[in-house]
This record gives sequence, structure tokens and C-alpha cells, in this order.
Amino acid sequence: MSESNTMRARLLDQAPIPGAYRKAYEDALRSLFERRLSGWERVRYLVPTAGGLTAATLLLSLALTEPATTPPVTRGLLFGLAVLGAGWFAIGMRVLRKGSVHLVRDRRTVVRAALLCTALQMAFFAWRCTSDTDALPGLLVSSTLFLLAVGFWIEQSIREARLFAREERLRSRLAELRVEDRE
Amino acid sequence: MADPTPSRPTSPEAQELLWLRCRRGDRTAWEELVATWERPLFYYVRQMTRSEERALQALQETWVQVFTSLGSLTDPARLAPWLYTIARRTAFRSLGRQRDEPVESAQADPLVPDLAESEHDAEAVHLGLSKIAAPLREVLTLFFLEDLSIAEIAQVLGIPAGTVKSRLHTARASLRRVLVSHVQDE
Repeated sequence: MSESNTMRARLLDQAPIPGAYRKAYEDALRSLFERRLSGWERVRYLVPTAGGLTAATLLLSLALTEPATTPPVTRGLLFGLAVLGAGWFAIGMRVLRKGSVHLVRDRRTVVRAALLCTALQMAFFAWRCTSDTDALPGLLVSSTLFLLAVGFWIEQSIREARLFAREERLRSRLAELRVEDRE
Repeated sequence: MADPTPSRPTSPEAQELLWLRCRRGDRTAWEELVATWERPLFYYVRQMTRSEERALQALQETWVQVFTSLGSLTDPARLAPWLYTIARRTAFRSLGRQRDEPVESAQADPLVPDLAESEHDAEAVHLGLSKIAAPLREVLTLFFLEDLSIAEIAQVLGIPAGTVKSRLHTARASLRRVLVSHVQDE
């Protein structure tokens, strides 16, 4: 280590970060990733959680109690939507139990769930439209929601892919630099 | 004993890689970023605010700023100057002060050996820094921390590189005088 480096290290030792503060400080940093939910935010997560549970229960009971003459496609769709409701319930419960949201991981999960949910909704209304024109408004609304979800998903995928590609390029460049240094 | 500070990502590529990993939400990259820069940034804001409490508050605010505006960094290869710029702004805010104090010019004493070449005591330098004018203390602190080039110090301070050099010259002379009088008093 050079004299100047020693000087730097010694200077830093003159102003250590107090241990008690470090704990609070690390908690503050952790909270940047895992943001605690406020009371109002808990309510906002509670609504889709309760909605998911209600929808899952209703749709599952419908799928199980429909008459035997019900087409298999309808029954399958009811099951599918019940699973979707259960999925929202699971995501909501996970967030509520933690009492916080992870800015990256949870956002990714929500975007994917929204995409799947809107795609199934759209498929359901499209199928209904083949026999009942009253389902057309539902198809329009679900198509709009699906397009929005696709937009979010594409935007997120492109951003993550770009960052990943850039990271890989940098890692290669750094590996080259290390080889050059050794030579 | 203070915690050891991890080695700094000195090359532009290494700084950019760390920035990218942080942007992708890599928790370990954040821990690395904080562990690498918290002590030098704390030392810097401590010298600027001259109060441990204010410096700790400024440091925490700095990290929050860094976290929220990471995507706005246009040149990630210049991560270090960007961090110091944010720390500087935060420290100024905590002081409620926007502008630098005027700097008086000083002549170097040729009889006193150059600071960079002498085996000076870090504790004396640390105390000496607290006794010189704020703008001189700031530039000399950045110089001693060795994270930034002259051009990058100029970028952080928002002044031309030539002014940084002349201010450094003045700061060294001031510190030298403080150290000499300190030795004489003893």
C-alpha cells in the first residue's frame, strides 16, 4: 500500500461511523428495497386480496356445481379464472404478511400476473362473443386492459434485457482488461 | 477499530458495472456500493458540516437520493463524482447554505516540506483540516480521499480545473501553516 493510500485509510479512521448509527442506517437502506406499507397501502392491497379470494371461491364452486351438460370449455374457463383469483389472493397475502413491497421483485410478479389475468379475461370474453353479442363490451374492456398489461410487460422486459446485455458486455470488457493487466 | 472499506472500483468499466447491478435491483451490489463509499462520503460530509450528527443525517439522505435518482445518471462510468456531487448538495442543504465562501490566496512556505511527500500524521492533518476555510477544507479533503481526479473534483465543485489546482495550492499552504503552528505550540 502506498503512503498516500495509507494516508487515506488513516484519515477515514479519524471519522468512524458510530456503531449504533450503523444499525439504524442499515435498516434505512433495507427499507429502500423493502418499502413498508402505510395504512392506506395495506387497504389497497387488501382489496385485490379479498377480491381474489371471493372470485376464486365463487368461480370454483360454480365450476364444481354447474350441470353435467355444461360444455368442458366453460368449466375449464371457470377453473382457470378461479386459479387466477387464487393467484391474486396469494400475491396479496404475501405482501400483506410481509407488510412491505420489494421494489423490483414484487413489481415483476405483479406485471406478469396482470398480463396473465387480462389475457385469460380477454380469451373468456372472446369465446363468449362467439355465441352472445352482449359480451362485446366485456371483450373491448378486457382487450384494452390486456394491451395496457402487454405495454407494461414489454417496457419492463426491454429495460431488463438492455441492462442485462450491458452488464454482460461490461463483464467481458473487465475480463479482457484483467488479462491485459496480467500480460 | 473502524470497519475496513472495500477496494474502490477504480476503472470506469467497474464503476459502470456496479451501477448497472444496482439498477437491476441486485441487493449485493447495493451493499457493495454502500460499503465502498460510505466511509469516504461520511468523511467528506463530516468535514463540510463539521458536525457528526449533521453528517450522519446528510449521509443517509445522500443514499436515499442515490437510490431514487440512480436511473438519471447519464455517465455511469463517472459514478464516484456523481456520488460526491449528491453528498455535497445534501451537506449544503443541511447547512442551509448555497454558495462557497470566498477563498483568500496564500503563498506556500518553501521551508516546510510538501505535504504529499512528508510522513505527516493523519490525526494532525484531520485536525488541521478543521482549522482552514471551508472551501479549502473541501478541496483538500477530496484530494486526500483520492477518489477523484482534478477534473472530477472540478465537476463536483462546479468550478474550472484550473481553479481547483490553485485552490489546492492555497489549501496546502494553509494546512501547512496550521500544522507548523501546531508543532510550534507543542
